[in-house]
Amino acid sequence: MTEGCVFHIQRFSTDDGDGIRTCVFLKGCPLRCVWCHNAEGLSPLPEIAFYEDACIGCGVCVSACPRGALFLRHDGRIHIEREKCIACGACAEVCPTAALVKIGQRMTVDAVMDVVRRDRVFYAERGGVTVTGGEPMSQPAFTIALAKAAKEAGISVFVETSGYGREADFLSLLPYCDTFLFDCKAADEDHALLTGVNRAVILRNLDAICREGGRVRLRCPIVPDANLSDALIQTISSLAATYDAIESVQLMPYHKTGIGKSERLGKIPQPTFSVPDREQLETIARQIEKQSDKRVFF
Amino acid sequence: MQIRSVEMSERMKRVKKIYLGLTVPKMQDPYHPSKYRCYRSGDRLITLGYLRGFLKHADAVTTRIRTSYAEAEELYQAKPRIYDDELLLGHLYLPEYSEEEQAEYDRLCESFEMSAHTFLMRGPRKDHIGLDFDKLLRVGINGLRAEIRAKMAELDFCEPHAYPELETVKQWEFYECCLIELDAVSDLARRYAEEALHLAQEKEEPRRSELIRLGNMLKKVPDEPAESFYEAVQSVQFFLSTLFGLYPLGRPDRYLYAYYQKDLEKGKLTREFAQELIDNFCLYVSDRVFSRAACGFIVGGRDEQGALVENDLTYMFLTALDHLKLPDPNGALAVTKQTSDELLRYAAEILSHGTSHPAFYNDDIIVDSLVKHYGVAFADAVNYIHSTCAEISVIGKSKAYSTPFAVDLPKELLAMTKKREFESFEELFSQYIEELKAGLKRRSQKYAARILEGARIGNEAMRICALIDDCIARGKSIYEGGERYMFEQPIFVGFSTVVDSLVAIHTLVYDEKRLSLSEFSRIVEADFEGNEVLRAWIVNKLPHYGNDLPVADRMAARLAKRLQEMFGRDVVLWDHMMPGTFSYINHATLGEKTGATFDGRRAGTSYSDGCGPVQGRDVNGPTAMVMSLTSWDQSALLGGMVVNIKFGKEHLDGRKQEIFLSLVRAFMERGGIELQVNAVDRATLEDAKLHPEAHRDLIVRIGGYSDYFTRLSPVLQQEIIDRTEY
Repeated sequence: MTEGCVFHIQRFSTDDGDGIRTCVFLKGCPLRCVWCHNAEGLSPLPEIAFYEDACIGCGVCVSACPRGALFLRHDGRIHIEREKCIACGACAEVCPTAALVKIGQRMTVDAVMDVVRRDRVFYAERGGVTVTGGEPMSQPAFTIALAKAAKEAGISVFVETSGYGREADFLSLLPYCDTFLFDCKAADEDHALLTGVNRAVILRNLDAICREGGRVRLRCPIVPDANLSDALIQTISSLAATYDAIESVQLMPYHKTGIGKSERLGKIPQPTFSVPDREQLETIARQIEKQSDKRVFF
Repeated sequence: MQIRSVEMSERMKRVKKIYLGLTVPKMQDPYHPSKYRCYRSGDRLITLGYLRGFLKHADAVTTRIRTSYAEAEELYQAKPRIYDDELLLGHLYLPEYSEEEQAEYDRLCESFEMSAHTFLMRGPRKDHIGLDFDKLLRVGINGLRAEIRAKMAELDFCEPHAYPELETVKQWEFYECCLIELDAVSDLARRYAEEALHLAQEKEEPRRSELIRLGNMLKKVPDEPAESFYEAVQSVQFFLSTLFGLYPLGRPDRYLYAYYQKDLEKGKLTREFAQELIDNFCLYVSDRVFSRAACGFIVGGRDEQGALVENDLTYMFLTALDHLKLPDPNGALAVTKQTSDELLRYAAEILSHGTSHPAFYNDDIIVDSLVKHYGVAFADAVNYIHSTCAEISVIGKSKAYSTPFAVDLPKELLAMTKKREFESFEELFSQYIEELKAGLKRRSQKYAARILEGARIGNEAMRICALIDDCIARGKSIYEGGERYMFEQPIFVGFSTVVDSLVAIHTLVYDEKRLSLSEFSRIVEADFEGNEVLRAWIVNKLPHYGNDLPVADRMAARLAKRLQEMFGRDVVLWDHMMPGTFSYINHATLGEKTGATFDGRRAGTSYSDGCGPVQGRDVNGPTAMVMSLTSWDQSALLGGMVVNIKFGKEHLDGRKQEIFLSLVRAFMERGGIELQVNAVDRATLEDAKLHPEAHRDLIVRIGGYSDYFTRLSPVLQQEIIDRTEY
């Protein structure tokens, strides 16, 4: 049975696709977007997150750790030596306040589907499951198997992707995916700098999906101090105009809910940006709408 | 449907201002300098007129008749009050006493307290009854009188009587009471008519014509049958205005629709004017609800033939909620599988404007359950209403005793576990049920005795029985079995607190054997002092009800099943018991008085609200919560099963409405009974707690009724904030 590394399953998701959906977050992403708000989705391996505010300094985790990676400091706080930690999760298991949490569980398709099926009654005609991450296509076999299982159960499948993966994988996924929530993250010249990868692969995959009859919703992060430029608006508009398969464009305004996630994983903090206001988004939406003749929303 | 959220007319805005500016007696305040400014018996305000009447008729042959004379005298002494701009007349008589009158009132109250008042307090819960307005409009008070007189004429005093019960004499007495009171209603209507015509002379046009029209109307209704929409609304309002307590407006989109349709077709009525009348009608309710309780209406659902009810009035009454933005009336929408998406969307839109109405009732489940579990005929079952908050009763055919007693589930568990150890969880669980059962038996006996007392002294306005089948036919009041259906609606308070507690005991004491029951009990008694780790573990690591987790859900199902089975034959009126977990404000008031519980709840904090999860413990989102809460068959619990979901406004308008729709539909499909939606964000509530002055208009739903957030106790406020927000 195919297993995947899942870091969260969010029921009642209302922003990632149509209707009420269950989002399955897969761990691991080849991109390094500067505005990333899912730091726990970057590494493909399990990690330990530490919510320091929740810690009451009881120290039960210290004795539970098989590697001696935890200790109680003089000030009563817990410290993790990250280099010793193998993310086995023993500490998280005994932590009474859930201050220590293991991020990333190996799960079978069946186990994930058990959760997905729970909310079936809420999906109605339009809701369903959204596979996201991280980058789902960094675990292609699992993503395809999960999408197939959901499709066979009569549940709508959306896959949210940066578009960075192997073309063959996208094409195998295609029959089981109702809509690709396909990112358009930056204009050509900024792309490598802002996301860490070259855009050419992504464009090739988008072209393949559209050519082979996939349905696409373009999703565009709007980060004023980072990716937002006339060139970005141009890029989005022309993409949306080029492919009939692109049914709409969703702007994804930058938000700050990702703050603190990196620190909790013992990594350097993410940079923060300003949040675009409603007016700004309206203007951008109208611009793209005008140039591409596609529905734009946020 | 063309009726859409039109703006409230300027005129109705003025009426709203007038009504809200009226002095409304508050709950009796023991520290109030004048103790008897507002003397209450339950929700019955004892007025000076009432006391005078009681005194005046000391020679009445029976107490019941004397009480009816007091009821009548109150109306005879009431002064008609007519305000500018209002389109409907009739107001609850609220005391505005002069100094001498206040002195007289204080004196009478004092003597009353020694005698009559005590028996008024002894009777069972009054009101909470849906009256048969359809009948009122069809036959008028004159018709009711004629029917009563005909029945009186039929009374056969020659039959051998079973002394001292003298059934026929009791029937005669009942009819007498009804007539005494109905005459007073007619008299007040006449005086209102005179006052309106008199006032008309002083006023300019167009108010003059309006008052003349109203004056002439009140010469006709409520005595005679209504013939137009205007007359129908006025007739119902007038009858209601003579009653104290909580008498809901029923199902106006059923009993008013024929009048509306006819007038509209003939061109005698415009939609705009009809909306104004409806607004005025609803505004009047908010004026008369002076206790912290609800008075509602229900629209939608089905008619006697089972056909969907969804007409202009359904929309217009919902629109009125939007216009009023007040805690009352407590509007509800009966949702069936056939209810249109359009109507649900409209309801969502209204909720998104920040009102907490309407609530959604699962018509299919409720009707089926009334038929299956409570022996109600289908045609009557579709005519149910939430008596006030969330308890189900049948309009015009039932007496429902709302919250005759509350069973404090957590407290009983704490008391029992303090006493001794139990070999197994099974033993503990059985013993718990036994303890509850014993309490239930005691309470039911006491309550039945209160009903008996009510029957003897007639502590409810007797005239309402004329609008409840089959009181006139049987010659019996609603305390003697005149009503066709009788429901006793005891409530279980702290359901989820106990489910989580039982899960904690089961896991820690009997499964993992981490500590003994007595140790656990001592820790809990000490409010987890020095045992924070254990408390944190319970809160964060044990399964909690409301998260779609089988362990907790099975415990809930098990407890719920046993609770329903408790109403065995040794419980008085067991065959009338309609329990629920609706908890009004008891979860806060009882929680305040109770120590910590096994689920990690701190001493003095609120219990879980209604059947909802323990506040803040549902972390898997609203779908998981709904799955849990509907994971067991609750169809028989019509005494109130309220599920609260507090939404951010963004979920209810525009693009996100489909999500709301899916949620409501799924809730109904899963067999949930009532869903209440709050469209506020947590930040707003927290701000309201800190700066009440800036949020006086913030309305939240509590346990089936709505209230101003700023009017709630700090504990209840915090509890509302802690309800997980999505």
